[in-house]
Amino acid sequence: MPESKKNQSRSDQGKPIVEFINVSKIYDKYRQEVVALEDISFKIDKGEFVSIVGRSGTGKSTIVKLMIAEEKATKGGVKVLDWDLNKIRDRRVPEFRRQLGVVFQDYKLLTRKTVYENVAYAMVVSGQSIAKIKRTVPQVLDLVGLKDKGRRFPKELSGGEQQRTAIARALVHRPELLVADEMTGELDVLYAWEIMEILLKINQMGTTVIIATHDRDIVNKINKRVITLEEGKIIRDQKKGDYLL
Amino acid sequence: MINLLRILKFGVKNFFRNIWLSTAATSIMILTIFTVSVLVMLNLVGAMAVETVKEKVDISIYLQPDATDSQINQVKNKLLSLPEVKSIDYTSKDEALKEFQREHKENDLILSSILELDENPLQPTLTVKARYPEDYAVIADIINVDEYKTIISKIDFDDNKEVINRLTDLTGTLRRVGIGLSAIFGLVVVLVVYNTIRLTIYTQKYEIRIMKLVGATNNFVRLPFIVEGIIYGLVGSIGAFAILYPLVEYFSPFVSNFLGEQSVDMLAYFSEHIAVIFLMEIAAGVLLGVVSSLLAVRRYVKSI
Repeated sequence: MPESKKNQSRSDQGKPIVEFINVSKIYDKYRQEVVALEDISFKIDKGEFVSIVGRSGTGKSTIVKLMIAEEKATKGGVKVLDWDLNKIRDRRVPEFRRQLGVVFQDYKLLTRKTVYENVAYAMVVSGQSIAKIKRTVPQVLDLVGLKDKGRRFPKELSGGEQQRTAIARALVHRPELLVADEMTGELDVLYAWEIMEILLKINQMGTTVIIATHDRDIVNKINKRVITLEEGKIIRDQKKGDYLL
Repeated sequence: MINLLRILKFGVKNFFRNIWLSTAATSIMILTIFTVSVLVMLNLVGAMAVETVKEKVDISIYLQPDATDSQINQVKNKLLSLPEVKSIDYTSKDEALKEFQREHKENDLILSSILELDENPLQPTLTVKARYPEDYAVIADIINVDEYKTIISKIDFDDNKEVINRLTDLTGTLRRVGIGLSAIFGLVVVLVVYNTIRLTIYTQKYEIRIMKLVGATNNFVRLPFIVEGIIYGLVGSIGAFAILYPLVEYFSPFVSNFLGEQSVDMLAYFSEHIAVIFLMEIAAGVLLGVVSSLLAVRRYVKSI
């Protein structure tokens, strides 16, 4: 059940926001089957803050890819925000993606667009009005500390600033669910903690946050739910967890 | 509506932010449209030139001065029955004399010398025009038989034979080369433009992936590229036109000189059809841009 008290007033409380049911993912690499995930099941409720941890290559990124319909499960069911991702039609994938925010490991910013335009793009794709975009984007840029850098292009930013741009883009359309893949990986400790504080703040405002990471210190410090993966299987799922291993 | 405006805006912005690739694509477009235009113009001038020379070529059949009307009609009817013959023009003795006098009215010596003769020395003439230049030889052969020897004094075909033969060759060659060149060039051009646009899109395949991951629909990703293609076409056709017009203006007198008479006036033709030519160029450019962009973007947009 959700830990956050803020969400208890919601009507659909109790229904999981993310659900994996006996999910396996097998890649076909050079005609050899590579098992990335094996029979994984878990539920994440509204308002939770969940860290998915494990060494590199244990399937964290695969879980993220399945969650955002970038890939499809080989076996089992994946349900996110009431969408059955096994059955989702290609045509409706954009609609689904607009309901969640994703921060990618490599940021994935649009190089030909400015910081402002990158953030605004997440609202533009869903046809929001210009007035609303003009109101919201500066607020979100302010939240991530990029108020004065809206006119820069991504290549003119530091790694940390690019990261924050990516977070701003993932947040600007107020998604119910924020998924972040290995986002503190390349940042120094102090900076990574700053990013984590932004995520905690967002979580407090009611957004469900799922992060995939191998940053032990951070995970132990925030003291939230931890799902631990090893060789494509869940070996531990703790409500208030540590990153052991 | 708001999305359409955004797509237009994205397309225009992309064009300017990617100015090097845009310049490359646009230059190719200008070259393409320009070259095709020149080819079309050359074919046109060729056709006009051939038409002009054709008009001037004919066979003159000089009849005996004492040929009777019925004999003349006999020859006339024979000629008219031939499918190769386009028209016949009969000039009687008197008409020939009047014509002669008109042509030499400045030269008193010639005029007075012809008037000193008792009889009109000129012969009645049949001027025959054929449908196709290669038919003159055929017509001449049909008429040049014993049956008409008594009526006809001379068939003036040999004088034109050289011109006619050369013209026949020229028309055929011009048509074949023109069609061949245009076809080859058209294909090359489509491939070059397609590949240039594909290259510009290839450099952005990651961007396309990102757009889709952020929740853009296929059309929302695709259409700005199409808008970019339209801009390539528009700028390209306007550029080509801007090069073509001064060139036509410059070369038109040379062409007219080269072909002799003033009958082929490229500039006049160009000016007369300026709107059509311009619109055709724009249509061709935009079509080329859109089709190339569509083909090029298709590959990268499809997968989820």
